[in-house]
Amino acid sequence: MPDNAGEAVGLLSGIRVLDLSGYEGMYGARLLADLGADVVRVERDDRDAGVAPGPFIVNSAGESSSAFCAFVNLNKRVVQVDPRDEAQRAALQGLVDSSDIVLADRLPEGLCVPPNVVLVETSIFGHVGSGNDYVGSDLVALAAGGLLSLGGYPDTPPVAVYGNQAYLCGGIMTAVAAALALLGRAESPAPRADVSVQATLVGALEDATAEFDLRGTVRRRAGDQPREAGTGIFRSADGYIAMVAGKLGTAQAWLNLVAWLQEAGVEGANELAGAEWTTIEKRRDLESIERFTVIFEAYTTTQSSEWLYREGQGRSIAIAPVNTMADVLADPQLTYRDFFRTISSPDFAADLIVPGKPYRLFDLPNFDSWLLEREAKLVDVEKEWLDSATSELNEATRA
Amino acid sequence: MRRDLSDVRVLDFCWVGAGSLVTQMLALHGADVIKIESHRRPDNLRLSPPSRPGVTSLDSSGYFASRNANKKSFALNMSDERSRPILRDLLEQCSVVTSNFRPGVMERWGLDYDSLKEKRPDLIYLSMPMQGEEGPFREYVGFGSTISALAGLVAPSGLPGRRPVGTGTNYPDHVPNPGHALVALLAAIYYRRRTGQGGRVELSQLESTVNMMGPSLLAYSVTGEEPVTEGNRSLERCPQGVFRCEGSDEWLAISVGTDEQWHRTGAVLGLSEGDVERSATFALRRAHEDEIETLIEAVTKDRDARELMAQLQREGVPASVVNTAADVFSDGVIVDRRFWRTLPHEVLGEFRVASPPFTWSGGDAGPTSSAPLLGEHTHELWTQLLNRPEEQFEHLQAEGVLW
Repeated sequence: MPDNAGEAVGLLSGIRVLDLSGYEGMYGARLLADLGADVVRVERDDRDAGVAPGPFIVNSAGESSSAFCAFVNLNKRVVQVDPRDEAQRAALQGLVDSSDIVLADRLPEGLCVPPNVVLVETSIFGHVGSGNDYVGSDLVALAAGGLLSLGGYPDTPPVAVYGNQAYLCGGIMTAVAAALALLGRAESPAPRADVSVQATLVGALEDATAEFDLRGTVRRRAGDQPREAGTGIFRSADGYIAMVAGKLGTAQAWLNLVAWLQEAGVEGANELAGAEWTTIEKRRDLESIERFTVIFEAYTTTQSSEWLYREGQGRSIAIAPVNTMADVLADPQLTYRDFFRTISSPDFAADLIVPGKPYRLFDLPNFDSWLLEREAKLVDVEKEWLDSATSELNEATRA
Repeated sequence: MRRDLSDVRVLDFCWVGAGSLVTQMLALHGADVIKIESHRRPDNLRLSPPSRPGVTSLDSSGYFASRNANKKSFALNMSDERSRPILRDLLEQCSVVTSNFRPGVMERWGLDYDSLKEKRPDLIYLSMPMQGEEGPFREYVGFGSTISALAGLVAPSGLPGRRPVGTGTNYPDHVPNPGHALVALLAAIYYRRRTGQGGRVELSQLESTVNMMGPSLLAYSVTGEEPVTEGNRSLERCPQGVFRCEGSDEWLAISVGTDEQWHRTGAVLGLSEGDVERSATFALRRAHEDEIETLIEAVTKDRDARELMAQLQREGVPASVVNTAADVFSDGVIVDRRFWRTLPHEVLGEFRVASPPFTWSGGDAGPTSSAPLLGEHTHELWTQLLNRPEEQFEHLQAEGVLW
């Protein structure tokens, strides 16, 4: 059964969002739409945004489109606007005037956001500061934000994480800023935020920034060379596993791991049982890291990822298989939790599958709609927004 | 300072990575966040590097300090029965409870949502279990890096033929999971302001992270094709790569999205007209990608990465130096945005704490007080918030309850 529409009320029902954002902000509008906000995405044909991000899907008619856009535009209505056309420009201004929240990469020239409407602008470098005129992309954001410097192998150029993560992270922070602004909106004028994807990623550098600040050392990409014995990506019989039995894990995890290897009669396991191996100094030593990998992989390469996952977790060790998309879709826990959602569309022969929401709500209205973007006419939306009573909040702040 | 959440007091049981960033964002916007901790079982992050050379204590972790600014710390030994009434009184003063313990821990203390909601229908409760609160793997342990692997993010991140590497960090802990939790939590607070109704938000860290592979999963459901590892290349931008520049381990990312940008790239780098024209369209550039990358790196390897970035940006070509964790402190744009705030810390000395990644018109949300020492605010909250007598404080501290 497709899940195209369920509970119709959400935490943000009644909130109107106009989405003029670029790829780095679009997911933010989607997150607001998932909470029941009425989100109208504006596609302008006056800008060269390049080709939409991949991966791409082909519909029954043989047309290719962006799966990224399909995912980030779920639950939105989409209107086409030509801002060079005066009537359309006026209609767009009408939509802005009756919005609660406007999201944009940069507010198009000539549009004016009234003081009671929240404005969140999201760009790769942010408009505040000397990056105002800079242009970017997912890779450029990863580079500027430093995350790229931690990815990849020591013997190759830095390598980016897959999947337009910078765009999606920018979208998340766009939604966080919009929600905060909504809470701060009792003030007049409404708060306005300038989101930087670069800064978002600087906030994702883990302990690396503190390490430089406190010790002057610069953490660099470690790649297939783990930072610590017991932590890293290891080979299995049918793929790879990820494991953390090091400093961030519990002391017990390391002991359990060693006991496991001893129990399995792994050659060299007794060596790891030495007291010195419980210290971080020993485990972060390059020789120790290499030695551990040799001992551990002699065992893990004889077992499947799935088996190592269950066996290791049974011993309270943080192990996980390095899953493919097929593995993710077949994951027993996600299946038990009925996580995935299917969407029927006349444009596609089979149902589309998307992840369920990133959170679950209890005793709260739980908007449960799963609709691909729907085309709407600018004039119709304008009329609808002008005719119907404005949202409760608009009412209050306008009074 | 922004005061958007000045009506919110949080009883915060979050520890380690993701949860602490959720409550820090609340604290930076005016919420009063009370972190419940104990010397008996301290936040793992308090035990984690880095610290200043030669200093190791429960108050010396820079990692902890980087995600607990503007919070208060109340030291309470939860394994002592006498902690329960104290906790109940604290709870009465709070309207949000947050936790990222394993399922079952809050239940043992009688602090699970179902036990609390009857008396407090307005309570908002956030839990962040690794894989959700029910299901066969609900007890499984994990960290950002293992969750990334489970979610399918690690497998395609790397170079073809080599061990996949992911981001090299516990990525979901830093933006995806705290971010998704914040969106739902803030919306719930907004809803409560309108209706008075509270409720529970559950963030399964796995389910949140799988959303970061949403486009790939959707595509897989249509095409049956797994994401393809292509390193820094992309399906829609070409050339796109990271190129060696002058110096040791200096790199420039260039990401060409249009034919126009390609022509400008050629002009800035001084490529021959023939080389540029031969690859005038995206399809042609994709066909000659290896060759184009070689041409580009032949130029960049002798050039200063920052100068070249400025030149390309002036011509409207997306480009950036690959900043290191050191560079992000001196990067001009980051500095302009006042992203880092230097705060005094009793053990660390001066320490730089990150602001939110957004700036506000009217009001600032940068951190103003550094992360609390363990139990730093126990006395203050005991006397001022709980209005309890001084003598009792000393007694319970000596007994190891307020500890």
